[in-house]
Amino acid sequence: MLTIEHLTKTYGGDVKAVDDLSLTVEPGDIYGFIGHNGAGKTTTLRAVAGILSFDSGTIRVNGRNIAEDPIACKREMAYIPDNPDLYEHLTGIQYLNFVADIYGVSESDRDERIKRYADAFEMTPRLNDLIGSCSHGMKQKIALISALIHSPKLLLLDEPFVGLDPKAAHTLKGFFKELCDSGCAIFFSTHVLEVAEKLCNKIAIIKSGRLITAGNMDKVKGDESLETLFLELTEHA
Amino acid sequence: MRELWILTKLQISSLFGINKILHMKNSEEKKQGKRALGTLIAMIFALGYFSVLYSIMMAEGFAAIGMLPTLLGVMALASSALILMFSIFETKGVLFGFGDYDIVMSWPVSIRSVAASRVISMYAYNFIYGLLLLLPAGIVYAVKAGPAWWFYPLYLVLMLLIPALPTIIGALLGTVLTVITARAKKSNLVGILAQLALVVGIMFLSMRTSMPLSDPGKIAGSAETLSGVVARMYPPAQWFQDALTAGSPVSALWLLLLSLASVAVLLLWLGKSFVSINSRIKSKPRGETFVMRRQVRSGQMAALVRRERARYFSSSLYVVNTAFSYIMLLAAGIALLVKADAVATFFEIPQMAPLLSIIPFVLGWIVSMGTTTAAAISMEGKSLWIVKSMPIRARDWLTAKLAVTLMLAIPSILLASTLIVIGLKPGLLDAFWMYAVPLAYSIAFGVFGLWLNIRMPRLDWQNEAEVVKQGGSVMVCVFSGMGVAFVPGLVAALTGSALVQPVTVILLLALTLWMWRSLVKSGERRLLLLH
Repeated sequence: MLTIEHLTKTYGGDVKAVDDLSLTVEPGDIYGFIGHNGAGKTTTLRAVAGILSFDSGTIRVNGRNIAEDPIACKREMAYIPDNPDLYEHLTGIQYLNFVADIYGVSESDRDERIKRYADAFEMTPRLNDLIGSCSHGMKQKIALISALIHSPKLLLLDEPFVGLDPKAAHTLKGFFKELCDSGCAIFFSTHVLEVAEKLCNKIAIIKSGRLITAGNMDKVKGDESLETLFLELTEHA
Repeated sequence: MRELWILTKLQISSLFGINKILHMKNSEEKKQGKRALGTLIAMIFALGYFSVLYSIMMAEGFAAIGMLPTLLGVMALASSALILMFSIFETKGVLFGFGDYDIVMSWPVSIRSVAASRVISMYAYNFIYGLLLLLPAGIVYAVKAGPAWWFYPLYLVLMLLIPALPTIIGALLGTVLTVITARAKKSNLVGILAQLALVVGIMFLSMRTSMPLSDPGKIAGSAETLSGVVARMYPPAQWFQDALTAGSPVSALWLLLLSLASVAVLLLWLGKSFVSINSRIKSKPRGETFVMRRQVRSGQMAALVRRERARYFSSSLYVVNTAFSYIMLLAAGIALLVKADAVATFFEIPQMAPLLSIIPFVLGWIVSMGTTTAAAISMEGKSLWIVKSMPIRARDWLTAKLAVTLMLAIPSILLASTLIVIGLKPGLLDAFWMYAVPLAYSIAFGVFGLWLNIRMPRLDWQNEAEVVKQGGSVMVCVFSGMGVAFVPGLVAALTGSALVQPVTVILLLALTLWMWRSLVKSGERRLLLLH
């Protein structure tokens, strides 16, 4: 579903935010992406989402090159940044309809999906509120519903659990599993290692722009906890 | 005092986005930033040049009747009126409801220091606007009058004082408006209407100070009237003039005391009500409980246009700053419908023919000032990631922005031009140009606004005034419109050639085509670079 080959992104000419990064996300994967602050997670996710140019390498979404055919790639995926600044002047339902219109979601599909996801995140009664009046967590929920509304094949999420209440976080994890079962791939960054350990079938650890390990969760961490492995690798690599 | 300095430094660092340009690391961004800064500086110099020309013309007129000192009073009045309008607009955004309110207010600093730093920031911008009128006027006066040595230091000091009072009055009026509209049911609409009413009022008053420039006889009469108007309408402008030209220390002292007193009054008031007003603005009412009904599907372009239109009308500052032009357009149409002769006399045009050839360019100039596109990309702000991550062509994204400006411009032009055609009863060809020229300006400046804004974007703003009023692309667009309308208008008036209108329209459309092609060609790349 997603293939990243030798991705390199430099800021300011000499600071390599991402350095020769390669990884593959298969359909059905819940792929966790972990690393220190400034390690290059957000840069990688933004490059994959097609919103950041990069210096070299190739990113393919469902076989299509993001640099050559960004529109087709974007149709297949949804991206949510770590701090989703939504349109504060729109109401929740206006925003969701806008996203549905852009992705060409039919009326019956959007009705069914908005109802389903908004009910699950307990957002339905508040969809008439201006987004500007919503709390951080509520905005995050609206962003998540908007990402799910067009049934993407690839979900790119930067710290998706930040700001969510425990119930919403639990609901989101349930949706992750359900989406994977239907063949969707999820590639997300997180600092919550316990969540990554329990939820992901694959994991990648990045340090100073370089991938230091990646692969199946069980193989990568062995008998250790993910936290121990992460600290060992990032301290000594 | 230390905290005020720190907070003010933070505010000033955002001035015209200079700090960001200075600290850019990406070489392409750096180049783009430097180009934008260079364009802005060139534009300021060009404005300064026009301001010098205007001051020279005024000075010649006043000197001819021995009233050269009035030049300083009139320019002080004009700059004060301009600053007053800017301050009313800027209050909501700079003083209240700014993006970093929560962070700033969580710091261990006094409320008065926070409020004072915001007022100083407004003053700093206003000082630059004031400088553009007052500095050339002072130089022209000094060259013509050859004043004593003390004129120069005193001029610099008083020039610093002139923006203070209109900034404070504007902030007070803006605050009252903000408070009234914050709780109104349709607060945005009420805010827009109230601001427009205020601006129209100020414009009406400032029209009374206009005077004919070419007829010495008329100047003599109107200059005397003007001198009286300056003193009556705005005594501080008269004090400014008297202190500098008659060496009146009392006038200088009055100006100083009034400026300081107004600052003190505002800060005292803000110290008490700053938090409550900001809280009022921040607390948005909840909508009615949503009940899921059948949602309606629309096309991608329709969704983009609807989003763009909603963004435009969500900002009273954005609307007032641009819709004002369309109100002026309609006012011009009504004036020429009911009092065409009076307008011709006012502009000292004895015959109808030159008026007919000039009006299309005046309409074009007004339309160019109302372009919404020069700020439309910057207005995306931190939400730009949404369109960037969506399967949208840059071309469609830009077209939606252009559509909104044309939705405002085209009906206004059609209405105003029809009123003018009915009022002036021109021939068929002149009537055609009355529509075609402003329409060409609206399309050309709609595209030009986008072309500029994608090259001079400002996405990290904390308040909308930073892009809507102070944005480099907006300033360049507005002042370019002035030049692009003035030159053919002048040629048409002087030569009476029937070729000026068609040549202008063809040139404008050719330029539009070139800019649009360049936008479409480089749009994807430029959109990707924006962040």
